Amino acid sequence: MEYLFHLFIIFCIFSMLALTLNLVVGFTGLPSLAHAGFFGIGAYTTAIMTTRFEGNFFVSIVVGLVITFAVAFFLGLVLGRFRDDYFLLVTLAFVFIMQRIFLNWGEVTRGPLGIPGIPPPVIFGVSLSQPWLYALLLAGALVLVYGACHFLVSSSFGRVLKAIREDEDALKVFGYRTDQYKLAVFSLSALGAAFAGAFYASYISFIDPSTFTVHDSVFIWAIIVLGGLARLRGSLVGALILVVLPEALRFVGFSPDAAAQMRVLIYGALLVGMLLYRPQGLVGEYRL
Amino acid sequence: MTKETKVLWVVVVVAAIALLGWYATTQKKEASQTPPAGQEQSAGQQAPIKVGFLHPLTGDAASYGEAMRNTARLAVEEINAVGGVNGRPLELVMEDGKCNGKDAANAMQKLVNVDQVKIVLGGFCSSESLAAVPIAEAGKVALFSPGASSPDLTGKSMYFMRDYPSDASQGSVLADAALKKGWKKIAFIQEQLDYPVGILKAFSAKFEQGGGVIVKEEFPTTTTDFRSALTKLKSEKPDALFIDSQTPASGERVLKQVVELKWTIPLLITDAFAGDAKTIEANKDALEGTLAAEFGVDENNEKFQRLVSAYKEKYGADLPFQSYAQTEYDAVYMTRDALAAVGEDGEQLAGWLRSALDWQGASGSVTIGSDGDRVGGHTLKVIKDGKVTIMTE
Repeated sequence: MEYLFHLFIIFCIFSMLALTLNLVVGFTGLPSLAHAGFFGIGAYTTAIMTTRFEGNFFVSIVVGLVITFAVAFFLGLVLGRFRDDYFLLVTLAFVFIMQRIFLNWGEVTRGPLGIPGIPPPVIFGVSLSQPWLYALLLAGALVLVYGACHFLVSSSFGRVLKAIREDEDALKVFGYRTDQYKLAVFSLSALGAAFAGAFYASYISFIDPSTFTVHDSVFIWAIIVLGGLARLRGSLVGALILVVLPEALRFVGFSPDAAAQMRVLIYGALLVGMLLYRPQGLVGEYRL
Repeated sequence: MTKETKVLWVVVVVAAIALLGWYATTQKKEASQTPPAGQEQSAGQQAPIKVGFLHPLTGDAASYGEAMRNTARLAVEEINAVGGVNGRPLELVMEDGKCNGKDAANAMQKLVNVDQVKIVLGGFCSSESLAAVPIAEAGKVALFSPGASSPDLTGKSMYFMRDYPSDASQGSVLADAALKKGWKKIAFIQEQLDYPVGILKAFSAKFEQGGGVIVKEEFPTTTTDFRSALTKLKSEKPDALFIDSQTPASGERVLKQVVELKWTIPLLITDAFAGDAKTIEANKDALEGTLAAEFGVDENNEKFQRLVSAYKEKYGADLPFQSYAQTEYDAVYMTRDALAAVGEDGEQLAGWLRSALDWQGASGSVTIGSDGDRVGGHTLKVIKDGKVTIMTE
């Protein structure tokens, strides 16, 4: 049962990442790889504050969000000057920069050693070390993020985002300051990633720079592309499949010799198959 | 088909795979349930004792993981051939930790809560172990690592122990040697990975305490040009240069450029570098007199010889990564002894293993201290004529 709670927690974390990345990639059509970087900022802030300064988990979330917002805002300003492929490359550079910071700023991040022993959150003196309590907290967090995303995309703000995706120039003609919209959605989505990062750090209890690489950005991309771009439900379906499928494959009775390799192989083949069959994702409405 | 039915179809397939998996494992579980009381069973037919195995089986570190899997399986087969533990065979439940925290946590959760093992061999990587420790504690399962060497794991939990020594021991052995040589300033060229950092930390703690000074340059694994870093270090006029690399390959690259710079200086290298006989032999001129602290293998140890020949016989290949393979092999045998002594209870298994004293195995005499670390381990070596030999003053 704890195992199912564990999977649920991992599902919630990646759902939050996917939902917020979907705002930028799916709804606004901005190809961003920066998500793992913001995920890392959130995770490292919580890790450092709770292990070194014995800070409260929830305070550390707020601090992480503030730092992330500042970073994302400035990055967003720079990104306002780029479009399409160039946008992608700048966000790629950002992930590499963050990776290098996590790796090299040894006094703060402990570099390649990573930060072990991150404690679980404490609410009213109760430590959430029980998996079901933690799962409950994560469920709440996911509902919060989903609600916020839903509110955003169903508002007039969300309609402008979709219009930017379809034809930014036309929108400018109507007098919309599209750069401000893009900056806003980029910064907000970064907050979601940092939020998820804080939970990730306190749940797994150990983080190191290898967790926040461009591969992880691509994994989140895979979730939203598989689930469907510009559909919030799609992000949940995608996260469910990509988190649960490799775990489900642990139970298929392969011979122990080849089991690990077979799992990766089947996982890859299923993904390729699904994308061949449904390139717009399971419930997507938009295709890059 | 409409969109919704297609989606449904996919979800059904996924659910079917998951269900099939559950079914397969529960079937196995039922088949292996303990027989009803009073029924006589011969050895080998009794319910096996499940032992978790958490190693990297795919990804970059899989080369280690696979060699360790082979070694562990060899040990298990040997044990089962002579009756297992009190007539019950051991069964390894293998899970892939991919050498990272998240996947190790997934795998550990499954081992602890689904397979309900009471002892897990692993995680092989330090990152795997660090992420698995809290899960082991919550599930009261012993976590016994044959490969994780991060100093962060020392005294981490009552449920964690290892029969592979901490990097700290390597660093401090070399620092002692450097102080004895009267060296005052050591230059470090250090690869940015957890293992070289661990060595540097342990080394500098001891060396600076003894009045020494350290200057260092770091490089990421992808770097191939070290000339500027080396030139900078050279200008500091150190007494010796420590090539603190994770792998023999990166160590050799640094070494070649030291030679190209015509910099003659006493060298210190890591056991990962010194453990690769081919590279040492190929660079024997440059490495003459180099110091290393190795957790090496004792080729005169009868148990180690037996492991090498049994491995060769079973897999048709030479025993790879010998210093790890010997601890892996011992870990399985120590697990057997622990199970025989205290039965299937995570807390007691951990307690038994943590009090191991002069347990004789392929890696020599194993003593595990109260902090869960293997006591001793690294010995000072010097390279002479392309061979790593024990330092004799």
